[in-house]
Amino acid sequence: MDTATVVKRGKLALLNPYTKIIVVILLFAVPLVIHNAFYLDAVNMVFYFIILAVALDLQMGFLGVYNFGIVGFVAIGAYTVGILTVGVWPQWWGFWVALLIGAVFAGIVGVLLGLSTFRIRGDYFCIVSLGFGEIIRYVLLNWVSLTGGPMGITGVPAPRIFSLALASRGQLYWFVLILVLIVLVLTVRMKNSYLGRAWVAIREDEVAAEASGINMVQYQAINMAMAAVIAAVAGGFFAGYLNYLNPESFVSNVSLNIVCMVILGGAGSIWGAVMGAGILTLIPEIVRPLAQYSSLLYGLLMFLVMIFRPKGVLGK
Amino acid sequence: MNRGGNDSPYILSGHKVTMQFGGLVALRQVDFAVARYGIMGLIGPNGAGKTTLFNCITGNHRPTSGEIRFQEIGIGSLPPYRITRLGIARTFQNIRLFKEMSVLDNVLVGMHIQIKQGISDVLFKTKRFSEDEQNKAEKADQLLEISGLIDARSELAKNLPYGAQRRLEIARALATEPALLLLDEPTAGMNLNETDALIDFIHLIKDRFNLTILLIEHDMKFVMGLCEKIMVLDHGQKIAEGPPGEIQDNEAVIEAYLGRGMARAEA
Repeated sequence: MDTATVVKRGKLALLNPYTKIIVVILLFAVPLVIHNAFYLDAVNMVFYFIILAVALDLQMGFLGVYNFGIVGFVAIGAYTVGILTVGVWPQWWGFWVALLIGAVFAGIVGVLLGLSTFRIRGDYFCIVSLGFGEIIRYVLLNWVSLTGGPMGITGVPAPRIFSLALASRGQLYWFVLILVLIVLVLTVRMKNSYLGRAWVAIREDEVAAEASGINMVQYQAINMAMAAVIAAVAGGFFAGYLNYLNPESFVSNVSLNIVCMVILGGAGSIWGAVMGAGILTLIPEIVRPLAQYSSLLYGLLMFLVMIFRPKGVLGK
Repeated sequence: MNRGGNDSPYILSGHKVTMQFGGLVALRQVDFAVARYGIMGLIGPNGAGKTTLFNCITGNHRPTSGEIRFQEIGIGSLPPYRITRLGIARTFQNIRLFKEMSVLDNVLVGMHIQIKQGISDVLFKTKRFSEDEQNKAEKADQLLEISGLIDARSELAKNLPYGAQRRLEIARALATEPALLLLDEPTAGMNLNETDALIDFIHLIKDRFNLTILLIEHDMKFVMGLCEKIMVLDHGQKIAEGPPGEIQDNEAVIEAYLGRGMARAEA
């Protein structure tokens, strides 16, 4: 069975339960072998972007909505964790409660964005979502008393489990790996359920989807909420990982980057999003010695993929 | 007049339905009633307003004035997905399948309103999720069996031949478990053999699912052979209604189709 078939089925058909378990164990063993902080940092960022690319693929690949403002939801999750852990709950459980609150808050904002934009499709939605991301950033920049403005928030504590702080790169690797696995399992489940079918049906033909009894407004709102919640959790991790937050981390370029990851990997394919996140996060790291050519390489890669695999590396 | 109650012989009825697009009157004060468990044909020249009437019934258009009642419920202002939930399903003039989805998934989407699970069942893969999916897949396979599409169940819808796409669209509509099925030009683009097979197929599903069928069609042989009653629209107005034999001899109908001169010459 080639990779295309695996992707078509939307699950790791290639991997029987045993190989699946072995792959997961190997992934968990990585920090025991690799101690180099630079490598671990790179891999952790790959995982962070995998979460975001998979969340965005729920929107772009399934629902067919091009959200250019996903970073807004990441920022909501990150700042909720930053603000609450620094100022309100410095206790060990503060991070986890804040992570949850940030996710719920982002989900509500996502539903509101979904409800207010349900009539807007295509290019118009791109612009509105881009605007949404920028609005969030401007709020972060200007609500100085809450967010620290351009100075941001410093001293965000690392996630802790009782007195054990997940402070080293290796421990944070385990944390983000668990997040990635949870997100992958849940998105694959959604894809292969009535939710995924309803989203794809809306993408394929709105009129026929409504004629099949699908309430489009409702399913668009659910989709937006799911992507927002996942993005906010990634944002919460980001806050605890960097211990420092600044609106600069949430510029619209980040959203565009994630859009590129989904397109490169192949919209509509969860494993494509994983691959796109991996490639585009690692390229700048790999070509670091040639830093001034990094954008050129990035552009060239996108260019070549669009010519030879217009639907993405793992797209159909 | 009879408004089509549950005990009434009519499943669907319209009262002075008017649909205006700006200055264009697509439907003018159309009254109609569709008999329960019957097959009714809707014919008329191009631009007569047939598809507009379908769109009013299914909620794609909201009639400018007038009333449409289905099983005693006024449906004139409901959105399409709610009308589907009440038991009206349709196919489209230019086939509207979910092209990049498999044949099976197309039918599963049609079963959307019978889903008996929630989001948490999906996320936690509960027993209810597995049972419901299993249940739906079995039912979908039955529908594909009846439609002669079972061997193509994993194909993408866009790869099916034309006739099979038409049947898949009907199968998807049947998946919503409708009481009333609207078919918009089901034989369009079909050859004679395919048309004959479609007649058998429509009889089969009508008996099996206790359906009422309302269809738009240009193929007169097909309409006359299949329908018990025919309604004729021309320029947005109903000009005739009756059994096929009567319609064939109706002067207003001949005139609408062939023009005034021809009608006189034939008489």
